[in-house]
Amino acid sequence: MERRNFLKGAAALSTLGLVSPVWSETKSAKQPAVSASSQWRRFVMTQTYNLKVPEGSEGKVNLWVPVPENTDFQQLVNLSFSGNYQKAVLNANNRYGAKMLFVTWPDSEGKLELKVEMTIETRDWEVLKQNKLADWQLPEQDAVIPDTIQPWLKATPHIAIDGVVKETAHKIIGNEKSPLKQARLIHDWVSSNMHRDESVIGCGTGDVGEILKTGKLGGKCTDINSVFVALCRAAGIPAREMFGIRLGATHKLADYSKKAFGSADAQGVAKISGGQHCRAMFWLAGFGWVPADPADVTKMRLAEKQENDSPAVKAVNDYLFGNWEMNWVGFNFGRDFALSPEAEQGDVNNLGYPYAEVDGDPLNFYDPATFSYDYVSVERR
Amino acid sequence: MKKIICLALMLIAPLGWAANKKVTLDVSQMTCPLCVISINKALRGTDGVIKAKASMKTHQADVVVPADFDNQKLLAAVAKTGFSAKIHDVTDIQ
Repeated sequence: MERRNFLKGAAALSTLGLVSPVWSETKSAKQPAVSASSQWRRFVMTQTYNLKVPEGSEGKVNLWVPVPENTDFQQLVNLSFSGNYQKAVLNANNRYGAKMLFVTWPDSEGKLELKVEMTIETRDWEVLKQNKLADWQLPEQDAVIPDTIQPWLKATPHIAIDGVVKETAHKIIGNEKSPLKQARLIHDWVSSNMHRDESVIGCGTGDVGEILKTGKLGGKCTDINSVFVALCRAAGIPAREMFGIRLGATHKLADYSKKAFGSADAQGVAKISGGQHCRAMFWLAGFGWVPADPADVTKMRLAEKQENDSPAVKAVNDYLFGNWEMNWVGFNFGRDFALSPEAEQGDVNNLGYPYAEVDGDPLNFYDPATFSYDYVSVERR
Repeated sequence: MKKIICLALMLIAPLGWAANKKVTLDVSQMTCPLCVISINKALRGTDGVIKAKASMKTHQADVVVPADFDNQKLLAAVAKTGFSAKIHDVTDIQ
């Protein structure tokens, strides 16, 4: 049995010399312009893995577990892990600097156990609610987008930004010149025209070109928020997803839905094995990143059987453009990228879920019981 | 005498072994881990299949079957998953 305690405080991986993303500028990118309240919430997320080998597979086992980024709105204050693995190392060696715990077993015979405990502090990120953009003005000349932000304007295999995506973006923004207002138009178009489809597996693949080409505007959070991201990029607004997981109960949106935004029992315990959720953010020159989450508007609309014009949906839509309630933690911004060490199956779509292979055969991360993993989050009060 | 029998068996046995073959299938729409899992399951569950492994990276599946195996069964197995496959290559293996 091996046990190690890593990451004490915010210094995280970079000070351990473990961070070497190809996008080195990601590390120095401006932190989100947080107007977060000083009220921190503290969660302990315990992840228990007991990997199940797919039938017909045998051999070396590799597991990659996403680890939260440190930002002004969330801090990973402690990470510990134990198990019967051969090796477990933290790294962020990928082009997004996405942090992960890489665990390996030399063969698939016997138990494949891992327990990971993360203590996470979060505080609400409320740019618009706290009126932090009141003094922001559209730059008079063409806004300069720094090199560190340029990658968030580019296409990836799942984030098409030309063709039907560009045409749709231009149709939505019309003659509007302000990127803040353009982003709001895009957010509202996505939240009101797309719908949550419960039959979609996991968070959805977020294949934006396919969604807009087929006109099937249904999906889950990755589908919906990736459409927002792609439309923003196509309009010239840097934008990105953040893949993460709900940690506990909503306080701010509980009046609108008890089911849609995260819940916990009276002791603050939340079973979150299926709680993965992807959010989005966009970037304004001279200000920084601004949160958005049109997908959760569609989730609430479905959960509460409401229409777009209901006051509750409007209120939630207003809140989720420019504000995040942090009963959720974001892992990373990675999209269509190679893990380190590289997975035998090639690039991953994103790393919002754990990913594992037995002799190159992937495990079904969308199904906690099949994989298998169990996640529990407890809020410390 | 024992040695002679052993030697004779060693010389004769390979002639009686049925050689296997590796059939490589192109599965172009295989773009996610779930696709790989589903295709692996379908191929491995097909009678006669000795080994099967699909790859999202190459969009192919390598299947080891006996030399006299009907390759069309593999295409039918993949078709049941909703994907379609084509035979890319067949090579003899010992």
